[in-house]
Amino acid sequence: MTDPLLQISALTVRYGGTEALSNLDLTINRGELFVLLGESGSGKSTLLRAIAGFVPPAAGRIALDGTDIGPLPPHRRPVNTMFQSYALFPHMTVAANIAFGPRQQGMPRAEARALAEEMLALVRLEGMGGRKPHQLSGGQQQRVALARSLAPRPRLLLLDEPLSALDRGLRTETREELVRVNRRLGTSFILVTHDQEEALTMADRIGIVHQGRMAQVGTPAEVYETPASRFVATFMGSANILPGRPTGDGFAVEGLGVTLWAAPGHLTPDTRWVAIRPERIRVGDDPAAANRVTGTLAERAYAGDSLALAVRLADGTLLRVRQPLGDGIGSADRGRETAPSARVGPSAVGGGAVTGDRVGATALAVGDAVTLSWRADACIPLSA
Amino acid sequence: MIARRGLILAVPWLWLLLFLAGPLAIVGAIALAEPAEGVPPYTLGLSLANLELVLTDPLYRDALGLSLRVAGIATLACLLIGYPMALAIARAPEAWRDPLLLGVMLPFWTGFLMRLNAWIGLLGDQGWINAALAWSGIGPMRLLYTDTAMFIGIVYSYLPFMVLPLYTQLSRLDPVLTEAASDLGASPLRGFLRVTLPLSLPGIGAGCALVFIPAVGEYVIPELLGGPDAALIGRVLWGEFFNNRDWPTAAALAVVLLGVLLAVPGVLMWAGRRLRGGGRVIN
Repeated sequence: MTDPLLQISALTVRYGGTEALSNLDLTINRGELFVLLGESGSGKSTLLRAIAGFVPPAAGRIALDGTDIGPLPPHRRPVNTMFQSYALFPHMTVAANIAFGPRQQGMPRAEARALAEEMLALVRLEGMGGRKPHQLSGGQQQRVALARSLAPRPRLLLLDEPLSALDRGLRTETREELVRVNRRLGTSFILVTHDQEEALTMADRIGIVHQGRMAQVGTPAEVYETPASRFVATFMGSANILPGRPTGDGFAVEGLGVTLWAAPGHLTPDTRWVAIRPERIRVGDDPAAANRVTGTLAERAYAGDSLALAVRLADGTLLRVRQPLGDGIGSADRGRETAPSARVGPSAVGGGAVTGDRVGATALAVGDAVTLSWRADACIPLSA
Repeated sequence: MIARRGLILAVPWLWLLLFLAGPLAIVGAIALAEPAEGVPPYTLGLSLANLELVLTDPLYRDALGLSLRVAGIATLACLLIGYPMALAIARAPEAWRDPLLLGVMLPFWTGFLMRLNAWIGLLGDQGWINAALAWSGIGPMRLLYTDTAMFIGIVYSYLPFMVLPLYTQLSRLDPVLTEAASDLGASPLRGFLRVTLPLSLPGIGAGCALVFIPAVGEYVIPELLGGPDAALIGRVLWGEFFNNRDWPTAAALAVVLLGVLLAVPGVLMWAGRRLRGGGRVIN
């Protein structure tokens, strides 16, 4: 899948005196669904607008299929945008909205109308062509906007937070819809979002934008499992970041007096932090785990599918731990009610079997002593 | 509760009764009266002779026709000048908009007659405009007391009434719609014609009505700047009322003018509803 479609090199965009994008390089492959992820103000929307032609670059080159499209105005670029607010033309019918792009390309009216019907079928809105946008629900408008931006057969489709205006249930459904359309048409998508779950579930590759630069580009698994920097580690999911210095295959954590063990060969001499994902830490003493620390439970929050715990270590460091509740909390709570005397005490938790983790963690109360353990490969070395 | 609401509604109703329905009824009554010597110069009655005269006599018909034509041309000129102005203000950076709008409205701070008198000075044979024309070799030419001067005066006076509703409409237009048109391959001109212009139609309608309706009955500007042959309905009406002291004919003219002016927006609104209704789908 390394067939480059869009090549951006050394792109700089300035608004007034501030650099919105600085010296940014990015390559998008043909047919891929690329997600640009970043905080608001990171420059991800600016990058999209620069590709569409709405903001002029101060420096750099944007090439589509090897041709520099930088000098072209938006209406001459073979790139279409699906706008965050959909931007449907309120005075036109749905069919006229969809046919607008092809008509501008000189397609005859009858042919454009047939294409509009075809696009409506693609987004499962058959028979809605005669309505006005305001007669549709938000989700339907979103699909019309998608159909309209795809109708001119762009080589590249830019989607600016396409799901942000939808409610949660519809968002999941629409995600699958977008992926389905991307696979079916083979059009490259660049989708901008600030929702990391959206990015992880949809993307072929993710680009994380931070302060006008690409912080990291990679597959969802690469970006999550091997983040390039502390920013990426904490931005993609959450992570406990422990500072220290490497000692061979071990990592001496500053202040804590504990040496952590990472997977062999992972630590480099310039490793300055180790990141540990909360969901990879186990409550209890896992015999297969290379690392274990003890502390007291400082916070405990029920999150439905999991328990969010915070454990304070000896030096005051707070470790975030997430324990999945695969069987629900119900059985554990019942256990607590029926056998209060059998409540798992601090020592019992420390020595508890791994299989008993879930019940043990569920029964924990703030202030209890806790042992935490994790495997060597859960330690993610970071140098930036 | 109902009594209180009635009390509140009584205020506008009283206003309308005193200052709209009352005068209208008086004008209507005079239009149906017989002309007579004396004070007041009519005797009340139920005669349709005045209305018939006004509707059939070529003098009045021509005056009405001329007024509609002049108002129509002036409205079109206001639209052609005012639309780009309104669009430019609506698309200007946020900080510039209020000063620019103020610039459009600023002339209202001085008296209407004073501004027209300034135009007399500017347009006169010895005025600055003719001086500039003479210097550039085009002129001098007769401007004051011609149709040109009259149109300049009307367009100048009514332009803000066109710009303000257009600006209101255009500033409410989401700029992302223009971007979407451009993104879908429409050149700036095509985008304007297919998106901006149709979406500003309500503003165009409001602006045209605000210019056209008062311009039809305009008396002062043609009197001060226009030639003696510009027999607009306003001037004819004035003549009947003050020079001929023929109150019933003047009142009949006023009634007919009102009828025509009510018919114009009525027809426009009906057409607009028909046009919009075409795209509606019953579900």
